[in-house]
Amino acid sequence: MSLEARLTLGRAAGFVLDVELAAPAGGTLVLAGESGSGKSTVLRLLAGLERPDAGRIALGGSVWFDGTACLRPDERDVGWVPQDYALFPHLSVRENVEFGLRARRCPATEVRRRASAALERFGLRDLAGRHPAGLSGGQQQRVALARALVTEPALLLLDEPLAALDLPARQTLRGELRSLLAGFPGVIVFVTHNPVEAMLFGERIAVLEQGRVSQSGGRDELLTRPRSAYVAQFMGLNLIQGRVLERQADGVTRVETRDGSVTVAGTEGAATPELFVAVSPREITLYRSAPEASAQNLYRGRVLEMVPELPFGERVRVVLDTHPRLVAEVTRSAVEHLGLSEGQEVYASFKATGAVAYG
Amino acid sequence: MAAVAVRAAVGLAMALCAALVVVPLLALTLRVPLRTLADQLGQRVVIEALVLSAQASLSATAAVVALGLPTAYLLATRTFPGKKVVEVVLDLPMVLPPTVAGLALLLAFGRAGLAGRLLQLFGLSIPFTTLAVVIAQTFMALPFFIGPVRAGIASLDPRAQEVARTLGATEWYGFWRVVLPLSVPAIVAGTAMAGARALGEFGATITFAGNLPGVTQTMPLAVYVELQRDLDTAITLSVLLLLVSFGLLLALRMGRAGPGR
Repeated sequence: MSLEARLTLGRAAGFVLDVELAAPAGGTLVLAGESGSGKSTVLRLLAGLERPDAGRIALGGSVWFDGTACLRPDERDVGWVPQDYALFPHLSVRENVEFGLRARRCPATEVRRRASAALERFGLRDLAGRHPAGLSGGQQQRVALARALVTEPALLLLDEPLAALDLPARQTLRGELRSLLAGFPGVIVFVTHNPVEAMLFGERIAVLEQGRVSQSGGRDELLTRPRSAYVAQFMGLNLIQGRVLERQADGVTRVETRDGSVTVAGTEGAATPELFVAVSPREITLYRSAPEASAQNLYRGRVLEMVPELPFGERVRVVLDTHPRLVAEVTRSAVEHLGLSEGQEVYASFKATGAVAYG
Repeated sequence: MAAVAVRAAVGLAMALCAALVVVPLLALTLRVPLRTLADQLGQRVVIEALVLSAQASLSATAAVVALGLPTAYLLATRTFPGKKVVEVVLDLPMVLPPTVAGLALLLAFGRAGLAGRLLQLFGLSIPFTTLAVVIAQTFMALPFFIGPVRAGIASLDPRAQEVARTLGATEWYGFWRVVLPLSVPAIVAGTAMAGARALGEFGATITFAGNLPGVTQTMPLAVYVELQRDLDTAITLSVLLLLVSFGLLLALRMGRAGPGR
């Protein structure tokens, strides 16, 4: 039961959603993007809560939307876990979990049996009689998952399932959520704006920017070969776009950017004139005065901002106003050793082999 | 100094407001003829008015809920062309002078009226019957139910109903199992307000249904008639109405302060 979807939706305020998504059975597709990029709307369209202007939604053999016919949400085999879960406040945990079975007119004995199994599996047996208001964020999340999964949907839609939790709980529950989702036979579409979650949950990631998929692919591909500024930022990489200026026989290539140039050891893929150059912040070395280093790429600029990386204290991201703009990641001791502070002038360099160039 | 003066003025305004309501009600309650109360209550005119008012206002309240609940749900969950107009029209009885409402009902359901002529074909004549009382009360009480219930449903998290839909619930099933239970406080409030309004209805009733003892003479009408005949009876009836209204509001408050809020 693989998912194939092509969705177009024009909103009044000039916002246009136009995406194409695919995921194999048993796979998880992460939809990553900033708030307002249309992620939640994609889930609502897939769930049937809103109707696309055009496109097609197919799950395995069954077509949910084909441009004219549009199945209602209750006719789709779908589970939707909205942000903040939206549990039924007037129902107990057990009644929340039983809701989908009752709505689908399961026989009473089957309702009890399947709900009990789900409560057991999601560690909710002792909470069965409680109401949602008295539950912790993590418990509410498990109820929402149990409620959505008890009907064994073919498509599970998770909208920022961890965003409603406090930071400490979020980190523990990340692992718990992964094990609860493991073995789910259908397709999962997981919406997040958090890069760590995107990496953890998505075998395939589609990045949504202003209603369009700016890049989609495997986790490693996005991590090493971003193709938009947002994707690079999401993955924490420096991305430089430019044109090939000179390509030497040994592969060393000079790339001209909008406001400078970069030398790389080689390029991947077809020899196109337009190139992306990705540089990991850890490849960048900082100096207080002009170094006599062998690195081919040397830039001068000021420190705009210094941001400690999580977990705090180990590493610091140093944002520079070099041309092209660079972010370096150095250790805390290096910051102290160099005596770095915001506004200070520094030299940043990286080796030609420290950059990845691709067309 | 200015702050003190402002505070004093605000306090005085509140005290005057309270006094304006309390003093007349106190005057009424203090005049209850306690010694002859049993005789007063035993009078035919009182019993008839009491029974008729109970029957009519309960029927009207039932009609208000039956008609108002689907209307409030649609207004809270749908957009359609002309919705604003519908809303204004449905609110009109709240501000319309009741006698005007009564006259309008008479012209609609009277013998020569728009709907009256049609009903005449089936041998039905509504004016000056108990049914006319129920219609007048329903007409006047409807906005008092639709208002709060519509607001209550609109204030619900729409995702609750949406989750229900994705779990396989039809809109109908979701309405009964999610929207309705979550709207109970608003429905109780609306029902109480509408019931109180129906019970107290005077102008539209006397215009449209007349003032026939045992048929259309509800308690407020009986108060008016007895005022010119026997003041003690009028007072007894009035205090009964006051007690019911007070009880309704009190129950509402208690219900709101209690569990689920």
